[in-house]
Amino acid sequence: MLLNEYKLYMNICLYEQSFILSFVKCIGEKMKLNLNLKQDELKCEQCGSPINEGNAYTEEKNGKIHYFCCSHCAEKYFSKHGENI
Amino acid sequence: MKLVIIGAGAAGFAAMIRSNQLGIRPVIINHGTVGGTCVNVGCVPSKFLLRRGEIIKYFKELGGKGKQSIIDAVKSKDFLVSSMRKEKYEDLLSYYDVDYVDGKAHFISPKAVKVNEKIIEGDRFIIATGSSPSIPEIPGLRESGFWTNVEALSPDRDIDSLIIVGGRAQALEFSEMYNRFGKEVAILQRSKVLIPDWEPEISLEIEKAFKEEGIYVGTGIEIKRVEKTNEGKKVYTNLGEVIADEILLATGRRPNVDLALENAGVSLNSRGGILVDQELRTTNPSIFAAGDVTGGPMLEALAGYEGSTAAQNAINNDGRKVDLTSVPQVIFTQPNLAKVGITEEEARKRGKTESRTLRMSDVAKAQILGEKKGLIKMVIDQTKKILGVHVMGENAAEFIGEAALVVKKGLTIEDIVDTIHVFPTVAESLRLVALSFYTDVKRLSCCV
Repeated sequence: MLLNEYKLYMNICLYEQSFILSFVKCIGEKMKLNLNLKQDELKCEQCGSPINEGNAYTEEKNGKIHYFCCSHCAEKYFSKHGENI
Repeated sequence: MKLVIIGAGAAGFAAMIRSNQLGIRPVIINHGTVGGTCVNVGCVPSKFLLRRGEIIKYFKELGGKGKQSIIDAVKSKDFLVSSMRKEKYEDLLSYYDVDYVDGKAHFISPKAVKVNEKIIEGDRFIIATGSSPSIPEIPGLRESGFWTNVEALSPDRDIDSLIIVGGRAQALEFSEMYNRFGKEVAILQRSKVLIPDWEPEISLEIEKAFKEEGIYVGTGIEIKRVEKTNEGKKVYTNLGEVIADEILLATGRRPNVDLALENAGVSLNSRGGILVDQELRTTNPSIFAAGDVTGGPMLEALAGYEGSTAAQNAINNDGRKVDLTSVPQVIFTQPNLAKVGITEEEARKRGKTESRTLRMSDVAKAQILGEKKGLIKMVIDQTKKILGVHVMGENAAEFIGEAALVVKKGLTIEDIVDTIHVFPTVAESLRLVALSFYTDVKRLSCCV
């Protein structure tokens, strides 16, 4: 498989919601990446919607950053779980 | 006054030059190569190799092969590093009035250090010993072998694939660098996103851009152990395994504090760096610290500023303070990531805030350059004062200084809007995002 095809394959896979990427390729003595990793997509901690660069909203509590799709979800989350989560 | 500077990197040299300007001939003690991290194994070589990667990308876009061995590029890099080290550091030691001592210093009392069995006393000390790569304790890692920034900038062999552990500035720059040189790269990041202390829009936008370039980005990954196999180096994680030719650790840096500081009454902070006040004075009022060794933001420009400030305060007791709120930071990916001031989330904690985000695809120069990925985000308070500017855009490193001045001087969006910016430039995005608080900039003609 050519490198470009491999990269296209990676890109297509990476946009799927959750997947197992298993790909093995060896050429000569040097080693191409051998990946067998489950990838979790970033999701709103309240409603589970996917988070992207257009809707990301964060709140930091006690040194931990929480990710939401909007401020309303953040409000709901902390009213349900409390500020000291 | 006898001033002793420990360390000859960015902070140490800035302190040396400032002390000469103030009429003091300091002693400067250095262990290792003169110039510190930046010129030798940091900013200078990494930006050179990143630039080579950009050129390779342009060649490919024009239909060329766009291939260069990273080993050949490293030879050119070595020439640049040695010439810049000579010009900017080694030659200056003879130009300035200074006593240079080569060796490792340890405090033997609050007023004296020992170097190579020689005791050097001082009235004031400035500690500027920098930082070193932080190596996490991962089972099998040391036995398998790994790279840090040092080896990745001067690889002993060519490789085809690289696992990068970490997801902050260093990880991002090395992943792009090796990817552009045709290597397959996987980033394994513990946090849920890359660069988690940046605006989330930027974290997610650069992740998307990397994936489009063929870099594998794994987030939420905990590394369990490492094993050297016949296939390569294998990393076991909570989400599966990865095998590659080499592992690069980009897991941060730790301050170099191995100076027997307890003998001088100098305490450490929670980051493992030397505890200083805003005037860079340690818990021993005669001893100052500057640069990476304080464990603060590890930035070349900040280190130089702190070195100069520490010298001024140590010699004249001027009480100059270091304001960290307007320190710009850049990650030299393509497009650049740049920021200054605080994030929207940090601003919300202070009170009422507003923000606007503008896509680079709405900026004329980004369209002209064909580099439409990215965005610019501006955060303001209720008086319209600009609190933070966060950019992913072509050449953002070249104009984040303007945003730093805006934040430092407490300027408002009106100040930016009322300032003519050159058309067409990516820097114009600063004015456009300020305008977007009032109007839909997508509906404006050029240069409104």
